[in-house]
Amino acid sequence: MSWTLFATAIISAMLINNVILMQFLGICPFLGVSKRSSSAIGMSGAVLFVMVIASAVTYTIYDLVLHPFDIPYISTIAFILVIASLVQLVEIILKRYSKSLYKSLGIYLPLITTNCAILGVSEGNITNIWTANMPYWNGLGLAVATAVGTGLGFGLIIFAFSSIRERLDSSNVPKAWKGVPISLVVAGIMSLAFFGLVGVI
Amino acid sequence: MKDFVPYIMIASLVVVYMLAYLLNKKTPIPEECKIELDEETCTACHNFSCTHHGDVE
Repeated sequence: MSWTLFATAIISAMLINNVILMQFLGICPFLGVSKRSSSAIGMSGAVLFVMVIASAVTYTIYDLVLHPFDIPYISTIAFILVIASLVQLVEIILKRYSKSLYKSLGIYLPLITTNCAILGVSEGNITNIWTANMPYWNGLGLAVATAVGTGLGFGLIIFAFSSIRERLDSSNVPKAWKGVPISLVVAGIMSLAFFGLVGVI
Repeated sequence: MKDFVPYIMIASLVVVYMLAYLLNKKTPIPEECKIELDEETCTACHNFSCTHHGDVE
């Protein structure tokens, strides 16, 4: 498998099939943790970190356990449990070995358990990438590349949105539009802008 | 026996989650992170019982 395929998977997941603006997943952190740029960066880092690990683990479980035992119908509940366990394990590792990273990501990690973007990417990898004939390592590589692209796309959008919201706070917005209404209008315009990228790859 | 595989799979994942949760609870928060976490005022959710929850506008 060529590197261009992985690069295409990353760019496609990041810009063209953006998880927030095109698939409408992860809307809760998009609106909830985008008031300040600093919290948006922290959340993006935590999502990217967990998304990549979760994609690799869920793809492996599907390929090596769920498919051979003919139980793909439990994939959703299995992936939810895997993601919830992973978040706990990542938190333990950060507490023990990377205090600086725990300091910056600490409070965002528990929120990721309920982030539908992580589950959406894991399920999407199985629906769009996994096939019975595909070699395990190729599929795993593509799944991880997609997760990296999706995580970067999530970070790009949430950071851009938080920057706009910070500027909106200091601008003269009519009272009825202040807060969430104007934010939703901005999100809609951003979504329209990204819709223009459809068909590039 | 094959009929029990999904039950065993889900039960084992639940056990893994419970162990990970308990292990995480037992792992102490590093001293230098404690103050920062206490001072954090997160408004990402409306869960007022959350220790990180700040004031809602």
